Order: sequence, then structure tokens, then C-alpha cells
Amino acid sequence: MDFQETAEHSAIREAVASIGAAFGHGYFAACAREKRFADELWAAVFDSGFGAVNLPERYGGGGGGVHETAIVIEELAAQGCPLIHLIVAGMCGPIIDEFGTEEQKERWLPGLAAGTVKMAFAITESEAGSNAPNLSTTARRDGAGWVLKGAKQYITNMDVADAVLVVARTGTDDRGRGLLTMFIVDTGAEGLEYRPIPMEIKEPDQQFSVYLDDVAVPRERLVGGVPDQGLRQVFSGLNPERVNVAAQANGLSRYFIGKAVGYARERNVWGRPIGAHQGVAHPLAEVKIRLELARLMTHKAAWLFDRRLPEVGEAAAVAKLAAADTALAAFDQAVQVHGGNAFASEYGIGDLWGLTRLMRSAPVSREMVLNHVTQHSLGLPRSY
Amino acid sequence: MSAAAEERWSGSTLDSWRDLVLTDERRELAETVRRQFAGGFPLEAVRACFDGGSQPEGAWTAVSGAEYPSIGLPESAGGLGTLVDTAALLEAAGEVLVSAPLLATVMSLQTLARAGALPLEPARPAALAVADGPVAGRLVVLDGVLAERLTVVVPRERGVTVAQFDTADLGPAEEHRHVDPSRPVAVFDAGEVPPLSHADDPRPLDAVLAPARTALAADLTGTAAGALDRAVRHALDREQFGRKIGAFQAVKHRLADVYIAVERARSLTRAAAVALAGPSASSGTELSLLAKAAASEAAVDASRALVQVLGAMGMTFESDAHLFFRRAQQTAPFLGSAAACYRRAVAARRGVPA
Repeated sequence: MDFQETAEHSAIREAVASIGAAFGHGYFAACAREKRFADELWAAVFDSGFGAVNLPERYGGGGGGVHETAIVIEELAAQGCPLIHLIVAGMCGPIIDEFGTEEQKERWLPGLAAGTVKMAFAITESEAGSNAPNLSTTARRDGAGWVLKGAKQYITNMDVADAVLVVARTGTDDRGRGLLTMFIVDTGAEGLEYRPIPMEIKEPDQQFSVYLDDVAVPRERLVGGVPDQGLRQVFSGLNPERVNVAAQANGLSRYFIGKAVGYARERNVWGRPIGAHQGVAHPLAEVKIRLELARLMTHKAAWLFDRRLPEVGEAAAVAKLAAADTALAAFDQAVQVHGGNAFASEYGIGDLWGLTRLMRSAPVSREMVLNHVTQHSLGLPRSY
Repeated sequence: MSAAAEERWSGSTLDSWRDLVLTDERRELAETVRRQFAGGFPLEAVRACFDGGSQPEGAWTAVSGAEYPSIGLPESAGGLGTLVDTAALLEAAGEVLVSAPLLATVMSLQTLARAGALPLEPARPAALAVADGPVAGRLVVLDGVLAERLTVVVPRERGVTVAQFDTADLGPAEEHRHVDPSRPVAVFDAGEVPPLSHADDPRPLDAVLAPARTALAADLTGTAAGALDRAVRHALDREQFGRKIGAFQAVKHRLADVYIAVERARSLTRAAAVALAGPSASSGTELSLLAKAAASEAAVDASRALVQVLGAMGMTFESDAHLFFRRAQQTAPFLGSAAACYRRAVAARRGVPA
């Protein structure tokens, strides 16, 4: 067992951290205020070759896996730049790489790897939350192609995406579960409309409702070319998503702890830095410990995924829960340490509450993780 | 404020809340009790229960001789004072972990008095049990080993039956080895045995148990206060890194949290006693449940804090910390866990079955 990071990984970490530091949380918050995608930061990350570390080299990627993506996401978050779209990109590219036809890979992966093409991911619906197969968006055959009908919710970055991966129901299996199929749909396709959802998450990445009103999709846009393979494709993306969210949460924890520690060192009340008081210092030590535990679990989950080991399901879920809970605790302690200043925008803390809190609920809720552990790890009866 | 709430917290009721602060008389009573038990039956007496397996000789005689069990009983039964006095007495006794069946006897007598029309024998050690169902079968009784009388509350479809048994009729008690030998638990079987006396009470179970729960809350508040007092004294005494450990926030903030828990338990307990003794008895049920829950939490939390603040010493048999810890752990679950009491308090407030 080896806990020392490789020189290559450390190099990625350092390089990405310096890109993130050059932009900083001020840039991120300004994009969020202006409701615009963080184009400059996105371009800087991709131009330096860190945007698609998980895609194959022959398409222009870095030839790595989730482990490398997680490092990039964590480092940017640690600089106060938790870009949601990196997590979306961490799902879409690999799905096309693993399940797409040769033509689809050639068509999409080079652009995705260069960062010049963006893809959104659309599975969530208002009536199908954690129960993924229970979708009401349908795709029916129409001549040689397909026609999509339904609505999606909380779809990230529709406005800047060139295409969207839409998961639709194409039938029902003998156990009554939905058969799913994934389509690559142009965001400008006829019959496709999207509207921004006003959110309490102060983020450059915006959320949208997407309406599919008989959207015609040619046959070659069906991921893999064969219908009813969607569930497997979706599931392949869920573990990287959880690992990457965990990595982003860990980065946020580092950001919050860094802010709190910096303030606790400098702020003097009664003639000594407030960090000298155990009431201030001990809770920070506690979140630091929780962060290190969450990071270990996140690394383990990424390691398992990149080796295609089946234990990744539990590890990714546990990592997500631990990292999300820790980030929220770190946020809260940073607020407490900063006193009233935490609520002033210039301190760069309060605006991150929405995203930090979201991680306890998404992409898989805390409760669903506990369900998974009770059922699969402990062998207790299924509860849902 | 809703109409119901206004009725509950009427002005005349508010007048009686002055009893939330102990009168000079009650403070004197508490001081006397504390001095008498701490002197006559110090913690060494509690410790002796580990060897002898029973409470020290003379403890009950001292309790009974001072007529403490009569405090808070109706004057017709030779009682004096109110449940507010009972609470003051039991909190003081709980603080020094008195090793006599005082609490159990008071809970038994208060429940008999609540049901009314039953003979009261304050001179005999007694205990209280609540049957699981409509038949008083196997009963696990806190401090039941020394009891001569056993009061059993049996829930009925509507209301309860309160029955009093002679423990001699119940056959030899099965004695449980438990974490706190100074309050030995006995198991009785009252299945086929005729009671000495019994009475039906149409009120719900929690209303009938309200005085007993308040007494129990007072005892647990005392245990919590005693543990906190010891922890604070140690924090003021012990030095590390050249300072009293009480100067470290990790220690003092923990103790401040316990202090808040103790004060909360104490206030709720007195409020329950005041309500049950006064004209607002209807809110007494809810308050007694809240008091019991708060006092259970305070006793468990305070005794844990005591163990922690004492450091490694807190883990030794020589230290008294485990005596408080055992007392809190064993007594706190009686008459319902904190969670169960909170749940039932909600039911009591809404006037629905618990």
C-alpha cells in the first residue's frame, strides 16, 4: 500500500492550483453574479491540458482516469472555483468513449477534450428523482430515426452546451422497469426549448428546465447505436460523478479551512489571535481530520473505479457522503470563525453555501447512500 | 397565542411560577438533606453496595425517621408541603447519590396519592412499576429489592388501575445484577396475586404518572448537578501546562454546556412540580414528561463529562466518577427514555393518546 502521491499527480495538482489561484474566488463570484459561464477559466484549464485528463490521448485527452479528473476538480475548488461543468464533463466524455460508436467518438471526443465543445447531461425529471429508471421522457421510433418527448429539470449549462445527452425511456422490461436509451441531441434542435431556473446556488453554471416537444433525433445520435442500453450507460457515469463531487467537496473544505485558519491567525481580540482559543481552534482541527478521512476515501473510490473493481459502488457513495458532510461542517466553522464578516460578500464564504449544501442532496442524497450501505454493506433488508 | 394556550398560562398560574426559585424554607430543607446524607451516607456508602450487594443499614431508617417520604403527600395522610418541596428534597438527595430507596418510595406514594382513596404507608420502603399491558405480569422494578410495598400502574382501555401489593405476597424477588448496585433492580411477578388495595383512575397513564415522573426528574437533576459540581471542582484544582485545566476552552465550554443542560432540567422539573401542585395541573402532565426527558439527558451528559474531565482517573474504580455514571445510566431510562418522553409530551399537549 502506498499513500505517497506520484510525481505526475503532484505536478497536476500544483499546475491546476496555480491556474485556479490566478483567477481566484473573486473571478468565480463575478461570473456567478453576471450569470455567465467561466469561459476564461475553462479555456485556461483546457489550454493547459487539464480539462480532459480522463479522455484517451488519441482524441487529445490526458489518457488518465477519474483519479486525475478528481485532482483537477479538487484543486480548482480549493482555490474557490468549484466549476460544476467539470463534473458534467467528467461523465459525458467517458460515456461516449466507453459506449459510443466509432463515428460518435470521432465526432465528439476531440472537441470535448479540447474544451471547445460542451455537452450537458439530462436525466433528472421532476417526477423521477433517485428512482432513475422511472423516467417519463420517451423516445419512439420514427422511420430511421427517433422522436423524443418529455421534460427535464435542473440541467446544467444548457445555454453554453452544444449538445445534451438525453436519457429517455424506450420500453419496459419484463420486471416492469423502464428500458432506457441515451441520445446526443443538439441544444439547437427543433422542438427543444430550455428556460433558466432561478437558483440559490451562486455559480457561473446555470440550471435549466428542458422541454422536448417531438424532437427528431437521427439514428446515428443514439449512443452506441443500439437502443435499451441506457441504464448501463447511466450507471457507468454515476460513480465518477460521485467521486468528482466528493473531490469538489474536499476542495471546498480546504478552501473554507484555509479561509478560517488565515482569519483565526490574524484576528486579535483580547490581545491574542482568536486561533489561540480552543473554542475556535478545536472545531477547525476536527474538520481538518474529517477532511483527511474524506480525501482518503475519495482517493480509494477513484482508484477502484480506474481499475474497474466492483467495490467502487460503495466506496464512491461513502466518499460522497463523507466529503459532503465535511464540506458543510467546514463551511459552518469558517462562518463561525469569521463572525459577522462571514456575511460580507468580500470575504468569499457566504456565497458558497448553496453549492456546498447541495452536495448533501446531490447527485445522490445522504439518505440514499445510507440505504445503499445498510442493504449492500450490512445485509439489512431493502427499505425502498 | 391560541385560546387553549392562554387558558393554560393564565395570570393566576403565572403567580405560582415564583416557586421556580426556591424559597428560603426549601433551600434550608435541601441543605439539611444534603448535609445529612453526605455526612451519614457519603459516597463510600454507595461504594459499599458493590461489596455487600445491598444498601447500607440504617439508610432507610434515617430517611424514614426524618419523614422525608411524607413531604408532598396530602395532609390527610400525615403529609406536609407540596410536590415543589418533594422536588427540592429529591434533587438534594440525588446530588449526593443517596443510597436508600427514597426516590422509589416517593414515586410509589405520589402515584397512590394521585389515584386517590388508597391507603398510604410512608414509613415502609416501596417502589413503583408500570405494567406493559392490561395484566400486571413480570415487572422490572428500580430499587425494588428493599421494597415492602409495590405500586403497579396497569393501563386500561380508558384510564388506568393503580394497585398496591405487599412484596411478601409476590414471592422472592429475582434480583438483577445491574450497573448501579446502590439502586438494586428486582423482578416481580404480580400475575395472579391479589393486591392489598386498588383504584381506577379515568385519566391517561401519563397524567397519573406525572408526579412520579417529576420526582424522578428531580432525582436525575440532582445526579447531574452533583456530577457537574465534581467536574468543576476538578477543573479548578488540576493544573497542566502551568494552568488550571478549567482555563482551557475545550474543558470549560464542555462544562458550560452541561451547566445549561442542568439548569434546563432543573427549571422544567420545578415547573412541573409547580404546575402539579397548583391550579394548572393540566399542563403538569406535559411538563413532567419534558422534565423527565431533560433530566435524563442532563444526568447522562453530566456524568459523561465528569468522566472525561477527570482524564484517565475518571476510568478508575477509585474515582467517584463511575458512581455518577452508573446512577445516571441505570435511572435515566426508568418511566421512558428521553425520546419516548418527548414524543409523549407532544401527545399530551395535543390531547391525543400517546
